[in-house]
Amino acid sequence: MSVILEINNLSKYYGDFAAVDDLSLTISAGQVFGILGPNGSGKTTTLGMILDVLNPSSGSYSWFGEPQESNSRRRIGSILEHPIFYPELTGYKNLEISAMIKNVDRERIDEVLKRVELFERKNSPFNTYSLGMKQRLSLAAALLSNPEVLVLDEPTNGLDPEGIKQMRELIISIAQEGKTIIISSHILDEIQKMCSHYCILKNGKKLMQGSISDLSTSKNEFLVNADNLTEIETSIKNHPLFKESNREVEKLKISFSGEINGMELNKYLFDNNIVLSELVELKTSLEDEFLEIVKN
Amino acid sequence: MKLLRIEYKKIVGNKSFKVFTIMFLVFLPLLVFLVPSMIKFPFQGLEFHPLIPINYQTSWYAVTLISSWFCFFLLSFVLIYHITNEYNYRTVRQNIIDGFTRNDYLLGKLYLMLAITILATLYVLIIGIAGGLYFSTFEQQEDNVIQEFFKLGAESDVQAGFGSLFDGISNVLRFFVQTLATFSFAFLIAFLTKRGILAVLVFYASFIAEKIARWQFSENGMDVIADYFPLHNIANTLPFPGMTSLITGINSPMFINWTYLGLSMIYAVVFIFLTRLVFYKRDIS
Repeated sequence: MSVILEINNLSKYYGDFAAVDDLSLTISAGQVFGILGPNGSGKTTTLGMILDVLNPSSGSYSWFGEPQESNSRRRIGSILEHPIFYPELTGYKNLEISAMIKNVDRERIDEVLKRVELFERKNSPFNTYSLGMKQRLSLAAALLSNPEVLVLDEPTNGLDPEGIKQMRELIISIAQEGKTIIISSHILDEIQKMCSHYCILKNGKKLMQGSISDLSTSKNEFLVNADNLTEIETSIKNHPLFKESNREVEKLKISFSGEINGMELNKYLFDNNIVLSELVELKTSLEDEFLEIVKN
Repeated sequence: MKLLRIEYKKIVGNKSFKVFTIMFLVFLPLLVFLVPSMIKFPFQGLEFHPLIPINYQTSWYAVTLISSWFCFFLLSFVLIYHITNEYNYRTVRQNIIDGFTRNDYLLGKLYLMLAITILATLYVLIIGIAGGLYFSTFEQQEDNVIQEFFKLGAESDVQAGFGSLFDGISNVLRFFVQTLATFSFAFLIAFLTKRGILAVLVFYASFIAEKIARWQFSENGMDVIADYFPLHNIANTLPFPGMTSLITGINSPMFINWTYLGLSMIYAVVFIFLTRLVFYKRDIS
């Protein structure tokens, strides 16, 4: 896979404070890459540097293997922090300016406005839009040049649940077109739902980088339900790999000391005359990983 | 041209830009044409208008001088607000994110500044021609009336008649250079302060601050240096005269001082270079 973005030892200092500290990262084509971290971890600063609005204190980056000074950013669609447009201009006129900067035909404006469901409001001034609409206009601007890469900084920030759902679906549909997407967020669930790869930042440092699919390993824990939970508790204690069990709101959480899959557990209980109404295998989540890393 | 078209798109929807531009377009001719023709009194059987220029030389000078003050107070203000609004709305950041290089962004603003200067100069040229034609219709341009009114001696170089349209048209060049240099300074202040009101205050206060500094230099016998301070130099490209010299042309600053003109161009380049330095060195917040 070709490398889309390569960051080498990038740092940003404000006085003695390191907002980003010696960050190195490689993002390949087709990845949906989540940059995860608590507030103030350096996510937006990192994106600001790679989008050329912040000057790095040291280090370098390159898009598409081209030098930093090249015009490669026209191949990238971005949303950085809040939606920013000329307040007195209409949504359409604002996109006209973006289209001219990106060297894109005007016909494309209506296409992206339809895609983000703002076509009906295209002639309303930007300052009359709701936050969700402003965010979608930002996405429309980012999509104008049909970019190879999308960089989205906290794209669901401040949106209501309906807005979050719309934005998430939009991003997923864009990802399905094979575009590379870089998303920063402090919402773990959001990253896990949308991304294929992730890195965790804290205090400007990269703590971890990996693939979301690697996270989906079994924890050898199950959530089960049946007519009689006490029967399960009694029976499961005799399993050679049994570790512990806990009641969790009308369900039973069972942990094992070794590897066991759902089918084996179901068979074991069935052989002990217990028919389960529910069996959920618990897997490692990004949240577990994040909390573990941050704790350490 | 694309960069200029983008700048046009940005300003065309801006209300304060429209208001200040309309003020410039309307009030400038009003001041040039109406005020001199309204002030009058009887003299030698004529309605004498002391503020009506006596020939094209003084007409061009008066028109460009008044226009330069309009540019100083109105169009500098427009330019400063256009730049600082981009920081205020953070659209400068969005433009860069959309794909502008910093160079593109700065060039766009420079082209806009140059376009405003050129358009203002063309407007002044039209006003100047119209003004000359209008002023030449007044009967008071008779040589003896002028001589008598101003009690001029034999050394007077006041000529009979209104002269040629091209007499004193070089003042338009002085206007262009002065306006460009003034805008370049406004440009630097706007990028430096990034805040509208602060930028306007710093811009106008700089002229006062420089005056105080010049006075200090003069007090210490360094008049020669003080005379070429940037803002003073720019102001002297098209200087404000005493009333008699404005009307009569005697000892008047109506003729080009090439040193001031050349230095103003150099100062304009320096201001633009400093702006570039500031814009590149800083983060775009």
